[in-house]
Amino acid sequence: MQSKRRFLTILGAELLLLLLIAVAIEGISIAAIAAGLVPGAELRMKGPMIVRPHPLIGFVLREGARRGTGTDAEQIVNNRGYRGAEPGPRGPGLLRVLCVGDSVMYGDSLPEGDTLPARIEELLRDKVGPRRVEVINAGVLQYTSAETLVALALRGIDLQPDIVIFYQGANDVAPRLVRPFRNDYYHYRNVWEADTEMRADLRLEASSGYVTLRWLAGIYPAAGRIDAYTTRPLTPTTQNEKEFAFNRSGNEAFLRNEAAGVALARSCGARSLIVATPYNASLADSHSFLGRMMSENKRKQLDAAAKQGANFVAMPDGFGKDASNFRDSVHLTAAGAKAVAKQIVDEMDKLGWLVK
Amino acid sequence: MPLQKLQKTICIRALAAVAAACAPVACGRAPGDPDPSFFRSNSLFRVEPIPNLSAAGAHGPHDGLGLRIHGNTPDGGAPEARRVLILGGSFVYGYGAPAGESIVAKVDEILKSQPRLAVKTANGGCPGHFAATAAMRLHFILYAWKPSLIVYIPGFEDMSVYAAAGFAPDLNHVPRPFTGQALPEPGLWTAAGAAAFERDLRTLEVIARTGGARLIIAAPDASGRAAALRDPVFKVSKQRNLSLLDLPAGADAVARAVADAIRSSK
Repeated sequence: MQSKRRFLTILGAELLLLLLIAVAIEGISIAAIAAGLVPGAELRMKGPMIVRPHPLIGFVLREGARRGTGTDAEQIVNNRGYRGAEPGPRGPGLLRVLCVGDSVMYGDSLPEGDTLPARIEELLRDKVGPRRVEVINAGVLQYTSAETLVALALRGIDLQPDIVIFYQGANDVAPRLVRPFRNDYYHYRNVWEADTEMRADLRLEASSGYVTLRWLAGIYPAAGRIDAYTTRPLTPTTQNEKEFAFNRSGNEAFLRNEAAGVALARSCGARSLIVATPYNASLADSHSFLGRMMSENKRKQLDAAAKQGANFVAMPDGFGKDASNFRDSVHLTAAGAKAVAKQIVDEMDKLGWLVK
Repeated sequence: MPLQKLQKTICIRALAAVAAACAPVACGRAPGDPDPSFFRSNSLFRVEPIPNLSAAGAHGPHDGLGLRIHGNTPDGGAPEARRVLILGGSFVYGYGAPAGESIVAKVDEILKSQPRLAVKTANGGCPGHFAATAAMRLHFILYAWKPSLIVYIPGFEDMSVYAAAGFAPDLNHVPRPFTGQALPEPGLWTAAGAAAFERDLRTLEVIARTGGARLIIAAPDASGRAAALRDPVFKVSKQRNLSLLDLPAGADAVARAVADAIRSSK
């Protein structure tokens, strides 16, 4: 009887001690993040989830969601599920440009005014005079050309754009690394069944202590990453698998998705521009895996444009070699986005699309 | 004693009926969901027949693209034969019936009875599919099977989705399969629903044309449950200059009409 009481006392004391340690870690972490010793805001930018499941597109931006709050790159999703200002009614005289693509188009880690669509809108306003311009940022983090196509079919063409700008390709590389390859990326995409409450590990991520401990251990807080929901667990790539990335099926699937997107845009009376997605050549030269992959994408983009009568926007010489244009291997800095926007608007102007 | 036996039998049957109705829900499947042994979720077109499924019976078998095999495999037959892919929902798939009794099998049988007509038909039906999912599934299988003609037969699923209560133009209201929620019962046919249905039929046509195939769209029979789809079908076929197939009532008559349309299409 006495030993049982003693056991329970020790157990209670140990539990109390554990609780005190957890409270202490959380308290110290909150103080460390507040003092700027731990980049808590940056880590938390990966969550909470800015995307939600969609029954036919896989996932879409979550209406009204915010990301990076407290940083200079706060991202706000409007009530229509696009980043930036909500599209207004389609009135006469309006030039509506729909920008579709991935996180580069979305402007991950860029303030609203520095994103590619925002820069395009700014430049267009100078070109078209009194005509009303509306550039919709329909870029979504992690989108491959397959999601872009379905989203364009179910949402984009309902906006009745005059021009559709396609900027994608980097996210189509990873699906080509996973076998057996399927055109619809079933082998790569997780089927995100239901937007139920946050996963337990995501709830943990809300705790400063968890974030700090993972940061100290050098482990990225994966639970907050979108691909933790949307992508199947991938097998590590080997050199052979990288070679597999040059498989014909993957490249052709990308070409077909681009071509079908352009055909869809044309079917609703919109013109299309396919932008050659640049990459940071100072990190990856043209012989590197990324360099070769992006060059292959560019060839397919050119094919798609030629096949469907779309226009192709190439980047100026030396753009990829200037590291100041990139935040990493593919994402643009504010300066990079500005330069790409100029190239796009100049092309529109050259094509005579910007009548005042 | 016989009365007690009768009561016992009634009780057992009632319990069995309740259990049968609840079983799909208990395993995460709504009563309208297709059998998960034969179908699986797909993030871009909701649900698909599990490819390379040899099990035959009420559902299946399926080839590598998830096309239902009836008699000869879709890839069998003469290579010069004209390939026709028939798309639709559970009616086209022949859900719950052996593969040989599906509408596509009947069409195939009629076409094969015609001398000097080399046509290969494939069953691209999938329970729970409607115009938008058919269009996207078409995009991802079109280049692998390379049909020159596509026939889309809209059905009850199109009514469920485009005439649903709580309809959203981007079809966000459609429940995921195997999550315990069935496709909604059709409600009122609204202008927004009709516009989305027309949009998705146009997408189907664009996808088919981009892949070098022609599309025939079928208008459900005027007396059936999906009669409200007729006007949008007529409208889109006129707008896009598509061949239109006005379906009669009854499975055998539908098969004959589809076979006639395939035969007379160039």
